[in-house]
Amino acid sequence: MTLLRATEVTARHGLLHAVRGVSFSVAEGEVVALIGANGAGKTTLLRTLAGAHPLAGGSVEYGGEDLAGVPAHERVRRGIALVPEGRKLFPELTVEENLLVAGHRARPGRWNLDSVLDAFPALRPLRNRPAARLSGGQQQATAIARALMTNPKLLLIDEVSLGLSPKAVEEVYANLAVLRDSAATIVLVEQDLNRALAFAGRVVCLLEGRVVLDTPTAGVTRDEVVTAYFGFTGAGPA
Amino acid sequence: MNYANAVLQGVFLGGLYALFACGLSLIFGVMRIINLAHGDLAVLGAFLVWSLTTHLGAGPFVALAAALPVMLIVGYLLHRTILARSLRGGPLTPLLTTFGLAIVIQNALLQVYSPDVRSLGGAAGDLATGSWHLTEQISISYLGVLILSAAVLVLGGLSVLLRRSAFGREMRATAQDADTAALVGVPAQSVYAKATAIAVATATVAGVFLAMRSTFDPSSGPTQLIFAFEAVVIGGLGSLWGTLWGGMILGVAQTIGATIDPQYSILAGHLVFLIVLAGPRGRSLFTHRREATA
Repeated sequence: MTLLRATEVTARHGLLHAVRGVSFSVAEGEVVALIGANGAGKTTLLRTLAGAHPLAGGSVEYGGEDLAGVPAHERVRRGIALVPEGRKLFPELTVEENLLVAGHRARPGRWNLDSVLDAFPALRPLRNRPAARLSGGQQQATAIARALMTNPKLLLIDEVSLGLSPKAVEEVYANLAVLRDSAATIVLVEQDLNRALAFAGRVVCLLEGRVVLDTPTAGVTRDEVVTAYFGFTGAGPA
Repeated sequence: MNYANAVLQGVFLGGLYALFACGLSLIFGVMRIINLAHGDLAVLGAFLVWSLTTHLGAGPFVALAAALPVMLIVGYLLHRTILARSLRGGPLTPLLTTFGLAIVIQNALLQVYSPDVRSLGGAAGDLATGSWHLTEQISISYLGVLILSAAVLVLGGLSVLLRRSAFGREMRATAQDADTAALVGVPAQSVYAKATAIAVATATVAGVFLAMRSTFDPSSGPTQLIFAFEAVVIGGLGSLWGTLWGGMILGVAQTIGATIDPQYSILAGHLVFLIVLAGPRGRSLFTHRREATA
């Protein structure tokens, strides 16, 4: 069953068209990797879906309802949560306070402070530490945990591994694997193609604000992805 | 001994300034708005209480209890109807908007109440005039103790609200990053409106204590705004407990100035304010942190 359907979505930064007529859909329980080079429009698209960036054209349907005019905080209540690029934790709040802020108006569901700390055990000893004093990996784990506190039906994660050490990336993906295996619906932006293809069930590639590839990861070759990623055939990214 | 009494009276006067300042500090800490109508909202609250005591015969504290819910609603609606729109116009627009609001409130009060000075001192009875005489030259007024106690209670209550309650966490999160707060389900405009309501209520408490302590009229607001602003800056913008210390320093400066020569009272307070502004820490004697948001 389709949970999210974006139809001809357009979004701008001033005169720049960052997202140009993007159409794709996400089924319940599906994990979609959104890839593309820097400036392809991935972050703007996710923020538009979450209501944090204005929709300039097209439509976004969620659970069969049009989200036009629905503000970001209301979309959270309906089950859409975004882990923003750069984590964007509240730096002067502790880890626990960051989680509780998100949990205060949460939808009913399996996630609460205890269950989230069980899922992210590394955060338990850090619960009274201000978010500004966390490492990059700890911040990313807190950001994902904070999003879970809203009990989302659709989790949007921007730049999962950006700025993290290899060890921290492993830890974050171990946590995401638990979510994926619990049939969560996830759209994640990832620059690491190998990791994105290994983790997701479907890959959507953006190039200059347009969808140039939308296919299951099972049948796609790395060359096909690289071609779509850069818009030409050649050596791919590492 | 005169100076010892001046310091003591200055500390109690600082309690009043801190009461005026905490609402100003809260609105700035959460929304980054300098509310130039804050003093006039306090005077509006004082007139409301004065009306209830004069026309209905209520005691000043009963009238205050009745006025507070009204002023909470006034504050909430003020944000929903005026401040929310002006916030969308950039950082300077709320400054101009609240300046205009101050003029509107002053003129509306002039129209309704005339320029005559009023006081709640009579309604407060012995509380307004009584005092404990510690020595021949040192005395502590009942009202001074009450005002300082109220300031500590209000500041303590706000501090607990910000640090311990779910709404306080939402206020602090919104103050730090309103866009991200929305992404975790916090409706920023609702938080802003409630913060404004609380600020207007604290201003009302301050206005009523001003009215008990001395006289007031429709043009009293801007003077109180200046003192509140100075207390906030001395104590640290957005720092709740800093405003108490800032208010006390301002109050002590004024009373010591008045002891030297009555005409130096206000000037001494302004001088301390200017010294803090020009001082090495730049913004505050006490803190660089914004406790209202931390």
